[in-house]
Amino acid sequence: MGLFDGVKVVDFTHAYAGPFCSLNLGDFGADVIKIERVDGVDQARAWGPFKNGRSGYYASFNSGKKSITLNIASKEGKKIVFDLVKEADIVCSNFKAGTLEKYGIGYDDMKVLKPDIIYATISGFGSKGELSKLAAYDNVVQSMSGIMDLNGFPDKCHTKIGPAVGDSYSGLMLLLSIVIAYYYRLMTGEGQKVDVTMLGSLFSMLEYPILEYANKGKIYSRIGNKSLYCAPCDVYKTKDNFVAVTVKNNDMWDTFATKLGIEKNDKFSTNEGRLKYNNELKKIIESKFSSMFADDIENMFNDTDIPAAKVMGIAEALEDEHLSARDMVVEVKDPIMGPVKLVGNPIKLSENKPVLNRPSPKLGGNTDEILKGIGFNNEQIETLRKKGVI
Amino acid sequence: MKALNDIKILDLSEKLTVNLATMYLSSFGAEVTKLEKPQEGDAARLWQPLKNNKSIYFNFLNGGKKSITLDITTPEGKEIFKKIVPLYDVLCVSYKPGIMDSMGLGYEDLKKIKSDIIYASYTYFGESGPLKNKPGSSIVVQAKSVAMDMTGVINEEPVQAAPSIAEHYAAGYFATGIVMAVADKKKRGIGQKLDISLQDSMFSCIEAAPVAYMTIGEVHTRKGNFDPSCAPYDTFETCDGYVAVGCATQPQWEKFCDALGFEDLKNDDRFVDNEGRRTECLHVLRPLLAEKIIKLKKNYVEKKCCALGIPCSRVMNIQEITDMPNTHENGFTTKFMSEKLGDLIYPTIPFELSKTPADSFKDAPKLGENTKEILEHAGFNTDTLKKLIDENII
Repeated sequence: MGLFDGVKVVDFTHAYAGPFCSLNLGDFGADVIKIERVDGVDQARAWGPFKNGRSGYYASFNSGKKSITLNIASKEGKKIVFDLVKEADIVCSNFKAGTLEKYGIGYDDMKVLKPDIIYATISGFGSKGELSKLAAYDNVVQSMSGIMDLNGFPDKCHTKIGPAVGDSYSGLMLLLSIVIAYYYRLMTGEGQKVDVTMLGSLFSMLEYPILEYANKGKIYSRIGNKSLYCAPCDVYKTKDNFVAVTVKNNDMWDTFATKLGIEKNDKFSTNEGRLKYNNELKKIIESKFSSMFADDIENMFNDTDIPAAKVMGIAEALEDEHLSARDMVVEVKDPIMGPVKLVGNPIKLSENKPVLNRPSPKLGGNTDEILKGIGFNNEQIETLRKKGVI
Repeated sequence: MKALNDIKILDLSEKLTVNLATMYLSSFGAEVTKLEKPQEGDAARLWQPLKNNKSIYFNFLNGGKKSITLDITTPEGKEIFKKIVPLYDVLCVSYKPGIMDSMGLGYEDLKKIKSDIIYASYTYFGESGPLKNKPGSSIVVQAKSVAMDMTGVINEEPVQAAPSIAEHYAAGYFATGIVMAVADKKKRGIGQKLDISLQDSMFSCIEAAPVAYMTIGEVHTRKGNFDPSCAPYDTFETCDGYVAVGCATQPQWEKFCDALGFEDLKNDDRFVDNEGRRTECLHVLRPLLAEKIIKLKKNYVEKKCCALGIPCSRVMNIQEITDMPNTHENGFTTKFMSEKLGDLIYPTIPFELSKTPADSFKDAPKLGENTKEILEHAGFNTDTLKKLIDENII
């Protein structure tokens, strides 16, 4: 049993941000109907990697959804949208602000037909101001939000967080706002519109630098992997890879120094001293680590309370026992690509197990089934196909 | 009526992650009570930035919450805790796995006191799996989440996501999981356990890395600022700073060339489709673009691209984004007149609900501000409370 069993989602999302959100709704039981425009299908279908002509990118964020192709600019297409919305609980989209309104299927149009609909949108920069009409991508939003300036090393170029956090985090914020609206709807029967912006989502992640700047005039920028609060707490080069280590206090430091055979030095006896001489300390630690393998370093602290870990790459993560035991790596049998491993769902609820082993749909793979569900017969479906509506 | 009006949450956590999650829930109407150690309280009460010797950071994360002090490691404290737990729907905990169980206050124990309790746990590596007891820290967990391996410059050291990106993901999932559980309680009358880990949360955001490795053996490791799926999708140096630009579709690429007058590249056979641009990006396309863009000014590139609908922005620091008109027009920050700290500027909650908007910000509670009120409500009399204060239990 999933919390969203019986909940219907009409899903206009594309690329990564929106699909990341509706993927989570589907994992917990929602029936997600993905509308792919005949005049511009989900652009992620053209994003690599490809196997047997299928986008692995698309397949990663659309598991378990149903796909219908639809020309939403046509009169018939619009009517089909309305018929679907009448039976739905949630509508999601991540077009730039105003797109669905332009097609006459904005919130105001939909709530007339379905007053209790939850209408959820992600836009790039917000609905007001000169940026509102612009399309947004993750790297641009990371660049604008201040995140890029805050990542990387002070003496080097600003760094994008590798994965597209501008998408997944705004998708997560939309998910949170949808579940809050869903709870309110359970209590009162009332729907509403919920909005998230990619820029606002990323900006909100910087609460500490914002509070410092806006209230104290202090400007934070990137500091690499160091900590401002304790040392050694950093990423260190080893013989074969990198390890992250955190030494939070003097007891940990004593253990750490003993294990590595670092000579006693008064400079390093307090956290304050270790922070002050952090660069020197890093050289000493890396001189020890340079002859050691990252795995061995991680293991050597197993019997201590010192957090230490090799920087794990994707190949290893997919075989990692702990991530598998947590159902964070799941195998999906894709009808075109064959078996692949994908990321599981991090929301671990004891009475709601996510359903994770479903493939993503072929383009328009469920068009007939979905149309029959709202009363169309084979003949009518053929006509719609000939007219280019589906 | 507020969205989460009738939900009562008891939050035993401190610092950032869970407090951010309960701040979201409190803003939408949930009644959140912080349970803090007597005398010391939440460590974040001392965190920078400070004003009038009080933490702005703590005030931001804990506005509108209540505070009760209670030492649950003492036998008396435990008994009091068991008496107040039934007053709440949700219990939030961020101790290491097993600590609450060892005190006789784990999920199974508390279920006996209140069968439909929602027990929400936040840990570094989760409450199950072989590494559940591994010592953690933010940077160490990030090292085990793949995201760190994916961030940084090619052939150089990996970079942690700063400042607290991982914790924000965990807070988002934690808050979502709680609302799902209370919705389930409303539907089926049951409670449950929520188990959110920092590692799972960060690992969930590694985009197409798993499928790229599984299908074509491509390892998505750090690649600087470019994206392996489409090109050009990157950051370039101009003569006066950096710009980020994203071309993920064919029309965007063509318009990008038009915007900046790169006719030669637009007509180059090697770059006619995304597959060509993407596979040739690092060694061919990127150097060609870099050579052209270094001669331009960042504002020029941004303006020209945006005019043709190409996602593009100069790289901004925290000052530039905070002061930008768009930030104010869209309410990404707000002024909060604090009774305790004077006028403050806060970042806002990054989602809007049209019918049930977030409450305006309030001040955080003083340590133990609501202890008396809550314990009296639970049936303790004044004499008992005085004794408990003397014994440093509350």
